[in-house]
Amino acid sequence: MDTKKSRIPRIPYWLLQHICSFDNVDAFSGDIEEEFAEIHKCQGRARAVRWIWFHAIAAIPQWGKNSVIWSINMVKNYLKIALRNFFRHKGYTFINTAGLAIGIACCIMIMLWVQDELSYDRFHENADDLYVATFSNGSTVTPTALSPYLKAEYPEVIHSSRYAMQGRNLLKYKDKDIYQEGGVMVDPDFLKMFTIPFLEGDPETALNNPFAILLSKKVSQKLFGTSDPLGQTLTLLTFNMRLAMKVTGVFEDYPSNSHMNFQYILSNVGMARQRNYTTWEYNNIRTYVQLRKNTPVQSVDAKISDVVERHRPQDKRAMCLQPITRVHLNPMYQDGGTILYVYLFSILAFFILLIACINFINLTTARSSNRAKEVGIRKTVGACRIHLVRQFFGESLLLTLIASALAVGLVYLFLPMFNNLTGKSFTWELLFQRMIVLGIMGIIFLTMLMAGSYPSLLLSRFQPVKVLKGKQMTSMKGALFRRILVVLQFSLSVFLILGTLMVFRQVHYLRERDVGYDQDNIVYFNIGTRFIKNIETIKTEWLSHSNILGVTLMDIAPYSWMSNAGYGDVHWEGKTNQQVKMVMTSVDYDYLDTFGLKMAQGRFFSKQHSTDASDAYVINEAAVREMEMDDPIGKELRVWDLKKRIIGVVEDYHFESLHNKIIPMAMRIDPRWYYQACVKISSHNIPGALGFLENKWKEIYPEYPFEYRFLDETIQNQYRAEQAIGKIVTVFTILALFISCLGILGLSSYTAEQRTKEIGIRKVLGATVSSIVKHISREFVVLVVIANVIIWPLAYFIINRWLERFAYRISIGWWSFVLTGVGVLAVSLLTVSRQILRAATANPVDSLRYE
Amino acid sequence: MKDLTKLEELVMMAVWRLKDDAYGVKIRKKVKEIGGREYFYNTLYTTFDQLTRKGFITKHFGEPSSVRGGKRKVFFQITKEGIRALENAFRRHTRIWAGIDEESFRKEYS
Repeated sequence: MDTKKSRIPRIPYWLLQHICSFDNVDAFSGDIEEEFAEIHKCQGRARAVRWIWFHAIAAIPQWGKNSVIWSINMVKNYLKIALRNFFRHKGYTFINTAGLAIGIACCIMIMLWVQDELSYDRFHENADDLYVATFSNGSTVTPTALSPYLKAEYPEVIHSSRYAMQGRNLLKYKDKDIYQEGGVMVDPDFLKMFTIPFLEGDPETALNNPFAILLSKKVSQKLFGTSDPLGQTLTLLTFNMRLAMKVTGVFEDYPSNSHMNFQYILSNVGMARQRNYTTWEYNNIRTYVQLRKNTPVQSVDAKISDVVERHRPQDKRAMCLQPITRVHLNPMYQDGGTILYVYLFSILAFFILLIACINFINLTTARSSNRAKEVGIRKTVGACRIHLVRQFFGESLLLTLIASALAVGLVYLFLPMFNNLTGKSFTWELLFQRMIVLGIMGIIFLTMLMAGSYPSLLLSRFQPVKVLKGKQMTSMKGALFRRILVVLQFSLSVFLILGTLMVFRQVHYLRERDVGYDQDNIVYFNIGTRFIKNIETIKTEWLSHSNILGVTLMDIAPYSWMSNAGYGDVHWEGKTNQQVKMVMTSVDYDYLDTFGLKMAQGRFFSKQHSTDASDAYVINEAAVREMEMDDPIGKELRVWDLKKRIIGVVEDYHFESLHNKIIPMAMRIDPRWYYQACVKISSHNIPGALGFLENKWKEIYPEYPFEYRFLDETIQNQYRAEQAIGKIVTVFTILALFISCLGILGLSSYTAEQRTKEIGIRKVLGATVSSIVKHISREFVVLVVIANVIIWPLAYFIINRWLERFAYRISIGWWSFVLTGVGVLAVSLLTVSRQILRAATANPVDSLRYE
Repeated sequence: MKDLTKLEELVMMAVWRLKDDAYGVKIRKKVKEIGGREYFYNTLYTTFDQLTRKGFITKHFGEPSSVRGGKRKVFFQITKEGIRALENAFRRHTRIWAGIDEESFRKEYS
């Protein structure tokens, strides 16, 4: 007979074997096989298969009835025993549930955060096909000519749009005006690429008109209230322009979980018509493209990598397309990206849950002898090991469920605080998203598995003969395992504490570090051409005020330089073959004095030298070092395509944030590039000076409010990412340490309870209280010390890796480690001492009376 | 001693009649033959277990054979108690049906 053809269909066969209750499965299966073979032979395979299926399905109802009745009975019993145990040992139950609840609550909040971070830009229908053109150094600032070029030359690119941020502008309608930030200027394709739901207007044609403006719902309500904005004309004022714009659409407020952020959209159709708008000369806007569906992005990357270099040979950076869904997470982008923190927080949440689970494991196994008799009885009356495993898993599941319910409550309570810490706005409803619900179920399952596995395996292993005879089941192995877990718990806690300490020290270091220039009492604000044209009169007038100490103009104030916006190609007299990248900035004659910079060599720009305005560079020391110039003064230097003479070298100062090293820089005088003004005011009368500035501002720009910022505040703000992370990590650390301490509190009280008699005998034999306390607490002290020693090298390694992100960083220092170790030791000693002290001071008569 | 149920009675009779050849497949066929209808696997084998537990039948293993995928047969044999239970059942039946023959039914119909 063909063996393959005569094989029994596996599913019904398996079903019959597993759900029919017959003592001898082997013989039973044999019978089925024999009969199947017979039917197969006589009546054909189809009949035989039908026959076995029939019997398999017919067996189900009976089986279902049996198993339900029995499982309900058993579950009722399990539940009763579990609850009795929970209530009898309230302290342990509290420690377990509290720890687990805090752990799960942390996990839920972190999950909300991580999910939010990962959801950035996912809401666009074409999210998978949208890309932003990015240089190899991470910069997304590209030439204006790139977008139309890509669309025209590459068939894979079906849409493309420029994206020019407009900053703040004044929007005027009738007698209302608002100073609104978040304006962008884009190509008409933009609306086809990105999902921007329209409330009014037609997205097909909305941006085709040169003077079209689209408003978000929020802005529209601010300007127009309840009246219909469509077709109305409003006035848009920039510092240099006054434009009449027609509202052609209103869109739903753009979600915050996107790397883009805009409140109103302007059409660039009018600008694009001007000849000098589309150029390869410099980088100033972003370029978004949409590829045809299922186009492999690598193939496009390969074709466009030299696209900028082809048109501007001095820019050697390769061009590639970055998916928009990754922009927010990308570490090269703006605030440093968040992918690192996504990993960090996920690991933290897992650590905390792990610590809570360790508590559960330790407390359950430590008290296993209490349950030993129960296990013995159950086994004697016929429970298999698998039933007991199931029972104890069930208990851990029950406790986990209670803890999760508490955790959800905790999340509800602490969500506002968490929002405060993270700067997000999570709402309670978010918890009911499908992904989050699934995630919470996953956490519950994971917790049950981590917390329940070891205890259930250990407890179910007891042999009834031994436990019922009254032999103690506290094996050395179990105790060793518990010790290892305690060491693990404390290692994690020490690690978290060290991490937090380092984050804080580093941030403090960055804030206190000398940036190399004067940042106190300097206000800065944006300016336009009207200001620049009148700068001489403004300066004399403003400086005559006793509280104004300096006024100077520049392209960008020192704090906010982003060197990845683009480097110039550099040539100089005597260049051999060094590759030097240099940034260029446009400054004013009073720049040096206003910021209190010092010259290392030569002189700064001066009005006395008429050539300074056209033929002079001042470079920084970093530039001199990298160009290996012995005597830079008077040498010729070419940056981009501007050849000028070096007249001086300024001492290095941090024109970027301290995340970055000071890079070579050249300064020049060029009023065309002035965008910001800095004013140094005297500390004696700050409100007076500000009032004066505001009045004077009104004379120049009557239609604009005077908006200024203090430079030092802005500089401090640069480290807010690190500060926020520091705060969140602190909270986690405290929680982790708290849960660990709960754990040893439970363990120590259990130890004290177990050793009551031992302590009694010791006291009778003359031991003092202090010697007993020393004796018992030594056990825990050793564990904590081991935990410290184990984790130090690892912590050192990881902290070092994190610090490498900073160009200027603290040295780690051994004392932080020692301090943390001593601190944790003190806290843990404090935790256990109360229990031990109580046991040690107890009257031995009480503990020994019953012997 | 408890009375046998109808199904138990049927199975016992099948085992008794099959003598030395009383194992799963044969019993199922015999039950079908004398009982007049086919019983589910599940039902039948539960009954085997019950009867074994009550001590009416005993089981012993046969030799493995290739037809059965190398699995051994379980043969059943009626015990003394089993015979006694069957006897009881027989007496009960005769008591219940005493004096009744096919003729009695025909009379009732007409």
